[in-house]
Amino acid sequence: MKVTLNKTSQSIAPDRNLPVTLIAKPGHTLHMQNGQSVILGTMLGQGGEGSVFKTNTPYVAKIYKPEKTTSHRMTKIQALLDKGLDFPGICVPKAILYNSKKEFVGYLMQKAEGEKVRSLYMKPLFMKKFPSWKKRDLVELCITILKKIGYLHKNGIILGDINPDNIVIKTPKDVFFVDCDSYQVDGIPCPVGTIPFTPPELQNKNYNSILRTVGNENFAVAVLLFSLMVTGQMPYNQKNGESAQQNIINMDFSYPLGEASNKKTPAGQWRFLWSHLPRFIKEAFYNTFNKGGTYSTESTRLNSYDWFKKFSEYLRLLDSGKYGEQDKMSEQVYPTRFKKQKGVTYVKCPQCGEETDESIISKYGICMECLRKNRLSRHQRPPIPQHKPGYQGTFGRPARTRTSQNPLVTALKIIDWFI
Amino acid sequence: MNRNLLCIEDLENNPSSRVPVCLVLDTSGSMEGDPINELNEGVRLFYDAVRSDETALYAAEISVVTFGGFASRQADFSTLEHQPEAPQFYANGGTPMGEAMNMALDMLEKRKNEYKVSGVDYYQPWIVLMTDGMPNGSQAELSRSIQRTCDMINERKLTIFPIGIGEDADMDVLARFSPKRSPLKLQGLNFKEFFAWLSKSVSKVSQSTPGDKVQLDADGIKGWAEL
Repeated sequence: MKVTLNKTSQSIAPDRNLPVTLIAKPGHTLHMQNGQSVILGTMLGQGGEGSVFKTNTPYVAKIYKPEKTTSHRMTKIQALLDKGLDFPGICVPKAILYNSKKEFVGYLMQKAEGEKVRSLYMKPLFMKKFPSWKKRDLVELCITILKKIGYLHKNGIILGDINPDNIVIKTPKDVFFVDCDSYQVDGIPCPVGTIPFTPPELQNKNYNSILRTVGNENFAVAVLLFSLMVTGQMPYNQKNGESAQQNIINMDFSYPLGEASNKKTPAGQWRFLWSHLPRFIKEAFYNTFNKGGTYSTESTRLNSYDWFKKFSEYLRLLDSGKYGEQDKMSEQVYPTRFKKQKGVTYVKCPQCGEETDESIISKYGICMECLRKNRLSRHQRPPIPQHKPGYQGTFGRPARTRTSQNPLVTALKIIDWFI
Repeated sequence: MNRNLLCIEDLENNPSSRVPVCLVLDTSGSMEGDPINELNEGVRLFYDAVRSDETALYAAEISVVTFGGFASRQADFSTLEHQPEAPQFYANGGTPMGEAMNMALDMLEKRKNEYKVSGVDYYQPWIVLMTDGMPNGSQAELSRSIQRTCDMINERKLTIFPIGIGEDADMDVLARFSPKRSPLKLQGLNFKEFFAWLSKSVSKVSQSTPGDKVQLDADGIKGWAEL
């Protein structure tokens, strides 16, 4: 492996700065290779690498900071141009821009509009930006994103740095991929990446000198899909766990499949979001993120088309109303309890009004979530309850209506709730 | 709803990775007059700036400990969504810096544990330590807080920004708190410039990924530090 890596890095010519002596400003005329000119308009935004400006064309211009115009960057933009990519919402370079001194300053691209995926990761912000969204909208968003990724992969391009800041959402169907100038193309690596989207096999490696495979990237795709389904959570965030990076390396996935669980699901409603996903989606995530899973290695991970098929099926179930038949709450983005199971009797909690499994309520009929909240507001820190087999003493009713679940599963569920 | 429930519920409702920041501020008698007024104004602007950044609002958790006469917890770790108003400070009393730093470190430990228990990721915490004088609390507390701070910094579990105010600030003691970064002296009473820089840095971090190296704006430091 090491030999291959060295080879890769040797085959890349050293990067060098391409000096810019005339900084592009609004009002300046810039030129493309074919001689056409564009005039820079007002600045739309600023980032770490440079700024984006309006132009007198339907496109916008990304202008690099002078220290960011390098030979690698220009070669990569040229390589992306040579691919002749054309897909709505993928804001790849359309033309290299030069100033009047023929110095490389930036490129022309499609304009992106909307909110970054990051804003979906914060519940209050999500509810402010997209108040009308239902689960189907998130599922449709995943499908839109998967189509774009599939198009890029088909064209031999690896996005590399998939993260919540370089996907911008206007509607579930109107989505923009930005910062495309870092994509891996023609043996030129994508030099950046973030820990949560990096597969276990590439953790602690230097992205400057490695080329990612589609198999590597399929991990990032799965993480992105997971973070949209269990909205805002990363698959390896866990309570009482090690660092997020170590959890990835260990492939210690925090969500259960049936009775299989590491018991480290983060506190809060995330277990409910997970619980309401269809079994075939949960199986796909579980087998991707869990050590030894069917899709857990570079060569076995599901690709964007596999996921596309699964999410299309999920959307079909939601839109036909079929999926809501078992539990209407499954159609919401943030369900407030576990998905209803067949064979379980549900009663209303007198405190919060939510329906809850009759077999796990207090003797006053209060649901576990309310009990937990009551406890939190009474104590400085929640006490660790003693879970003895005789727990029914505290939680009143015998489990007479429970037909489909064995008592051990329910007991574990209760313990999991408090840890 | 009591604060404890709110702070734990917030961790459950909002899974954003947190940026814990603790301001440990000298409010001893010598800060009376313009210094305390400028400090109040600076912290208020800091709160405004963090609140107006949508990402930082849900990611940054600000806490404040003052030392003026005694160490006092003015605000515990919380996002500004739940704790929007900046505390007001009054100058009074001696300079128990060690006690205040220990209080800040204790609060930090407690909050980090809450992150861990809830399963919320967090960035390397920041402590901003500002003083215009010399510590005159317990020597033992001072030594203990210096040791704790240095240990955490050396284990890369803490970043400290030690800042001296005026001619009488004990830069040597600030340096003892900071094995990696030299303490800086505030230019005059440029608290506003400092806190503007701090809020920008917090925003920048909150848009990165925990574990990533974030380049802070070195040029921006020139606006508030004597270099």
